[in-house]
Amino acid sequence: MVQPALAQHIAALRRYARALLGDRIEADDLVQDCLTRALSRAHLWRPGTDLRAWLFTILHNIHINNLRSRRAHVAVNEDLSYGRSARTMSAPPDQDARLELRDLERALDRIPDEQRQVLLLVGMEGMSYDEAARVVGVPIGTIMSRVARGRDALRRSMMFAEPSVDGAGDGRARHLRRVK
Amino acid sequence: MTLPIDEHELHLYVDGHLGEERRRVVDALLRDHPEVSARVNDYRRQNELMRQLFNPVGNAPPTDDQERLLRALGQRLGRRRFAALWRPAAAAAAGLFLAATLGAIGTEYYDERTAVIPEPMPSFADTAARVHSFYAGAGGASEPTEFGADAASKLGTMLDKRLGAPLRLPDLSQKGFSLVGGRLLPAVDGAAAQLLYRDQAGRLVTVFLGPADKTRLTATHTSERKDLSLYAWLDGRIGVAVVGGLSGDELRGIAEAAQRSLLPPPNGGHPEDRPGANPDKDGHPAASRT
Repeated sequence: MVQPALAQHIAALRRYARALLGDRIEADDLVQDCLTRALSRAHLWRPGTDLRAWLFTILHNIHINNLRSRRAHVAVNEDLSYGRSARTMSAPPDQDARLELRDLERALDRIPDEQRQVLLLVGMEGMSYDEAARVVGVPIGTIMSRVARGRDALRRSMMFAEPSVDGAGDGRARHLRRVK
Repeated sequence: MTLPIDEHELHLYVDGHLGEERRRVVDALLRDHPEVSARVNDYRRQNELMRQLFNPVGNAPPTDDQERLLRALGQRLGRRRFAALWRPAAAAAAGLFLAATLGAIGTEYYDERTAVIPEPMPSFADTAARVHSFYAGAGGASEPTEFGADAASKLGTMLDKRLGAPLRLPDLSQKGFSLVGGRLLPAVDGAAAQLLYRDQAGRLVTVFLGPADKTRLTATHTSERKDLSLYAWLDGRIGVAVVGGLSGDELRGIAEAAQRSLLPPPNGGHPEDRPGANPDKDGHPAASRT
């Protein structure tokens, strides 16, 4: 029997992997690798500690390792297929109500992977900054600045399609709105 | 414009991680500064959109492989929960058997820093550092090893068998360090060994050999923590770490000497390993040698 808590964590891992990589198959592979490793390391998990963080840390380490080996690969083969470039859009295109979602997905696509990781962990998964720092393995200050930079980048990127009330707004931004 | 809060607090506010008192300060500030308020709304909207976009992915049925792994993991972790009920008693009964495994040592080491999240894999380098501190740290032990220098080759043989990989003992004489002895240690994935070297001044250096996770130790790994320096790398399937209370530069030199001494001799080694070195079926040397 699958414990409800574990099932919830797996749903979170799948959501996170997909948001991180864009590509469905790669995301499924990443989650599968993560579960395989978690299984082989189950003896290292200590009951009473945070299972979600443990699983996310494993997934993060595999992801970073994949990125590294892909990068080494890219130099030789121009293989950019891991991660962003292969994104299959999750939002249905060309529906007016969905435009904002699509804009966000595209914006998410354009920011550096390390910013995307923390925005998703903190913003989507609702992790505390401390928890995210432990998963990603960087100091909490680094998490904070990645959150700030990532959010500003997303905001700038989305401004063209979805300008919001901005102090600097003089009406020009509004005219750009929804010129499809 | 100077705001009475900093940028990071604004993000903590967006994510609901700000304490009551500071939250009120931000609330008040947002009332007076519509432009900041607009940013906060945008940031919140980003979070909301991310969830809208990817929640369906998480809620979709997992693949068959994922499902199978999920079940197996659920069972394993369930057993771990159960095991936790009796483990402390068992451990007390068994006495302190070196925290049972190096894995346990590594985990314990991490606990100082991460009370909440267990390190999923005690890193090889951390384990090496811990072993050095434990056996060769402050004061050093008067009877530091289980195998003396002369018996250390036996250690190599024992480790060979357990790790399933040929093992040579590093030669650090070039750097003025000679082998004092070594000990065999239980490790999560088999066995590990600590080799202890000492120089004229009595300074101790550990060469730690054992199974290392390739994904955590892909290349050389250096670190200086507290008063220890460490240098680690993978030698085939075996992780090698050199640890000591020396400066990073000096330790690096010693590690490089160890690395060199572990390389097969340029003209020696095993001729049968080289392509073209084997005689063919008729006993003639392979043609490619000419």
